[in-house]
Amino acid sequence: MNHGPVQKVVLVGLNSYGYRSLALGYVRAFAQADQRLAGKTGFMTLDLDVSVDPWWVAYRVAGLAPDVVGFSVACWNARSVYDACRLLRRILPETYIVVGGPEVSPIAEEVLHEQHSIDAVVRGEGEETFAELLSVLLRQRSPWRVEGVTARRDGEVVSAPDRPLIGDLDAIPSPYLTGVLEPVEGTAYIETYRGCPHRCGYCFEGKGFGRIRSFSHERVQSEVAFLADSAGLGSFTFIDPVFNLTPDRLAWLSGVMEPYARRGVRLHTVEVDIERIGADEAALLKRAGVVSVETGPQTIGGLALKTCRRGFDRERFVAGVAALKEADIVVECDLIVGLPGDTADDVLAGMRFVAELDPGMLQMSTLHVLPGTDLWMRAEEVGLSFDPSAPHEAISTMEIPFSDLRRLEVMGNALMDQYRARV
Amino acid sequence: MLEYREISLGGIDEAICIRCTPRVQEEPTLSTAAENLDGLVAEGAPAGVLFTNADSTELDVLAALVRRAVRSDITRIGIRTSGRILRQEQDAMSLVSAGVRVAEVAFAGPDSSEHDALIGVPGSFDVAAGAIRAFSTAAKGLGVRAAIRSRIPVCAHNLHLIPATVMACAEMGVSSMLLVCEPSLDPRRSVEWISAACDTGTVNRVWVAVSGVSAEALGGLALHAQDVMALTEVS
Repeated sequence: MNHGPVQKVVLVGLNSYGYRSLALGYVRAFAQADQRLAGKTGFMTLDLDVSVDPWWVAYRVAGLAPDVVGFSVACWNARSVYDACRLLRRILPETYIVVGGPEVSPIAEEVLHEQHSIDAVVRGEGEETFAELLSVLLRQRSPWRVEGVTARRDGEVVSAPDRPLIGDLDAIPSPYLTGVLEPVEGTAYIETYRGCPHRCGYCFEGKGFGRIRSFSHERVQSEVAFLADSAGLGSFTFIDPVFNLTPDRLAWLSGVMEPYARRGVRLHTVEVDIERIGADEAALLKRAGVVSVETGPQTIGGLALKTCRRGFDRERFVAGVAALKEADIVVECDLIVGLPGDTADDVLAGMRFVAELDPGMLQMSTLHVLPGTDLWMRAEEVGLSFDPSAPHEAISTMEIPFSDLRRLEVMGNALMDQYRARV
Repeated sequence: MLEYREISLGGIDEAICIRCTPRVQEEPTLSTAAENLDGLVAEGAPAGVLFTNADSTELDVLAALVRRAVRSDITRIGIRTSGRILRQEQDAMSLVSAGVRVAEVAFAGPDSSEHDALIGVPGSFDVAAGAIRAFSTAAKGLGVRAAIRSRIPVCAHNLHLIPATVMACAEMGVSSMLLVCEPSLDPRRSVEWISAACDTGTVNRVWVAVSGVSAEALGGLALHAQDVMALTEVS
């Protein structure tokens, strides 16, 4: 790759409507602070809607004539990313195309074998790896030597060893405090820790990080204060897998958010472990400005719970929903259709359970068998058939054939639609 | 799943096959409908009520009944109609404003010639289709979430039309349908048509529930015995 005096890097997020990629914000903030790149690399982020036609994505990127283009890939945007990369390879043959994210990280070599337009995959946590990759590209060295990178070497696909997780998350500059990212339409996305205490078989959250690492209290407080004072900020969305991770942490976060909640700043759809919520915890959430939470049960079928290594205590779940409703907090109950072990009757029982609870919101979705998850690896063992192409939707299970799974999806959509129709 | 108690407004059910069922004045009357509502509330407000034969009353009277339900903390309120009471956009607007969130509109056939002939009311298909448009527009205009269902009476005279009727309703934007099968239908004769109707719904992402046929008789279609609305008549 021959670049000019400055290596031009374009980061592309194909996001859900109204979102900006926090992941790309972190990656860019970290790389911008890297002294090896200072003055030699320029960055541009394109946050686009996933519905944008890949031809127009390519058009926008091509107009910037980057030396390196990086995409963040999740199961739901992978097809669009791959289409855009295929076009970009033809339009910009010299540009180095890099992808990262949960969709490609666990299957990096397969991705490079199948997607010939992509040059490299950043595996795992991307901040340090991407910055080092840029530094190596700048010096025209071998990218396949960079820890955490899978790349091409003389027509072969080669993976360097994994990179250890970042020990101190505060080493990653805040994308907000550095001006890389701004709130979108009055909402800011915040992450206070990485990892998950649970090991649910269908989820990548815990699998990718192994252990829980937190940003410091000071870092979180300064980000929150900075954002809350931004013009027009009305709400935060915490992307933490469990907002009430521990009682102490919940009390602390509630205290951090309280002054802003008093000013009208709200927290939407924080994910909670609802079985650990009673009146006191609901009061802390209310004090923090939480207006809605998201929770399971995902399923109430005994075999599926066991297969997915997930717990469910009906009484505590019901009590948690009741406590939150009492505190005037809307609960979104999520169910997954297609978990191995669930029969159609189990899925119907789950629908009846959440409908009877009347939590405020229902969300039903089909199982996506995500690369690197426990279910991905054990699919054959548990009789789970899924589409190998993203977004990897479940095709059938041992218990539910293909046709009934489609019927349950459609019934679930009707239930959601009907549930929302209320005064 | 979502519990609704049916409260009849009396009058005539206009959306049934005229060759199968003679038009009969149905009891109770409007005043007993209000009494039934109050009786339900006295037992503890139900989550949902569905006012049936909604066309048999005046708009203002129905709207007042709906407001009464809202005041009684009933959050899910629907109407079952042939479409007549919703045909004007301002009528739909006033019912949605009052608190109606579900419209269950009857279709006996896929187009005006078939539907009108079965129901015996010229122009009734266009009225029903117009009601769906008006209700949807009213809900959007008022910024509220509403659901539109279609209710499809199934008898020997329209059995062969059911898949096409489901298709027509799906194209109109309903989110679920209920096939109400006449008890006299022979399952051995009807199941192929019902199966085609259910599959037409599924491939168009619209749920089709079936009543009046046992889950056993539905065989591989047993899931379609499940309706997202659990309807119970108030006796």
